[in-house]
Amino acid sequence: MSNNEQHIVPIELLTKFLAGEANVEEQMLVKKWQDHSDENLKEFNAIQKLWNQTETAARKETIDINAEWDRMLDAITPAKTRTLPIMRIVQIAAAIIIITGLAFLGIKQSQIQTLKSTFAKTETIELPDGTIVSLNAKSKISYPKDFGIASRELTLKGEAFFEVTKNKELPFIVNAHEAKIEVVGTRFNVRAYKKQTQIKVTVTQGTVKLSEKKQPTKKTILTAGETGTYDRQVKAIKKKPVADKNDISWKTLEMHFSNSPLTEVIAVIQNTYHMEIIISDSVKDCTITVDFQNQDLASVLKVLKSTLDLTIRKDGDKLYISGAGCR
Amino acid sequence: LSKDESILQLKFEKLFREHFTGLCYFAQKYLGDLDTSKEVVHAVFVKVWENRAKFDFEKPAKSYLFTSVYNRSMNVIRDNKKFSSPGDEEVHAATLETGEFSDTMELAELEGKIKTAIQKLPEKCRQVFELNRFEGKKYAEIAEHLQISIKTVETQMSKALKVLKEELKDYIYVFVLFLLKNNDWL
Repeated sequence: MSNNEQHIVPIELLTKFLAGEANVEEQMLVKKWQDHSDENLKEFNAIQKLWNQTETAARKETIDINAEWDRMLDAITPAKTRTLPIMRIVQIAAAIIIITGLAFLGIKQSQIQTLKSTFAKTETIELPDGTIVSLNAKSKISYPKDFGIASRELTLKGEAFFEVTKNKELPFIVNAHEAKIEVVGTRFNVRAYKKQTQIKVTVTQGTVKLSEKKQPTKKTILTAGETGTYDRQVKAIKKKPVADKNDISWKTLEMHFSNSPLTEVIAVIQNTYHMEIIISDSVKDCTITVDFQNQDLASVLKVLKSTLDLTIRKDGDKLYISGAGCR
Repeated sequence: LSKDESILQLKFEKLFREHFTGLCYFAQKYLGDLDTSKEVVHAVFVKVWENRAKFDFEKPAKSYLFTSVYNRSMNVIRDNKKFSSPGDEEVHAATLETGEFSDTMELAELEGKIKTAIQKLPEKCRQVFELNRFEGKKYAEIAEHLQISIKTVETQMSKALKVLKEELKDYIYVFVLFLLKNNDWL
């Protein structure tokens, strides 16, 4: 092949041409090159189609393949692996002997450990496996005494934030009413108050598997930043790609509101500061955009009060909010 | 993991990484929603893993994977139909002829490959390329937006195209054939 200029066209020029940025002279050069041979034309067509296709592809939502593979790995990793370290086998055996021993002796002592938070206080606990649990107000977890040895399964009533230590051999399981939450090592929040119709799981790190206890194989996989909700009436799990940061504000003391209705704002504040707040219908239409970071209830209320011109009254252990409204 | 199991897992991972994105885009063409599509594709791969003992990782698995994703997607549509109003039917009425299936498959796979290749571009290069291809910005606008020279925009754009051409060299000619066929040039 000859080495004349019609035979090679630099990719810079071709790109400019395809992008519609080439001047007349440059366009001529590309045209000449195209017409020079069938191969050139074929090459040009290939690159042009690729170029055109990149527009459609660029518009596609991005898929994080590493995150997806992690999810897959989590899904296919057996819950309990066969290769238990020898010490663990010894521990399990010891636990079995002790438990059967106790049973033989007829000591039917409760093997369940229960930890509770009080009405208006959050509580932080370290579990035997090193997992840190923050219990929101009016919440309770219970787990067997051998927690962390043969299994890591507990029951939650109320709301808690978990920072689970990683242990691939012993998955960490939270039973919350009808819902079952299974993880390997992550951070997540579970809200499962008896009176609420939804059980809400918010993941801040890693992967969590959420399922209905009755259908343990039908797992919904939630990754960091996602929220899964089990509706106790509809009996179905729904997944939201964006986690509501206010879900964990009771732990972080960070609240973000963007044009949020006052009813929603109050609901978050109640859950964060454990105070019962009753708002009058007149102010239910009010919306507010504000961020709070690490503030106490009094300062939060002060902001709301001055922004929306509200009247706040304390009566017993309840707060009453009223005002002229925002219409 | 035993040695055999580790080898299987490596093969499985390779298959997963190669096809996952394209399969998601493929499912999305029928299901619309990417999250649902991802769940469908995950389910198909879980099935492959469960059958790993019998699965032949050496054979091209492309058509098996796409067919499985297609079937599962149709199941999802069927299940959803039970709850949706009659007006939605048209959207879901994705009846496919064989030719259409393979075209959709090739296209989705290519989109997946291109998207993956774009993601792999160096940050600056990808940014410039996306501003042009995705947001339709002219070179001059990109230069101003990013506070760089037009010459740099030119360089980054051609670098991107060069890399994409290289990354997709195995597909680009099949791709041309397929599009030529569509355009009745053959």
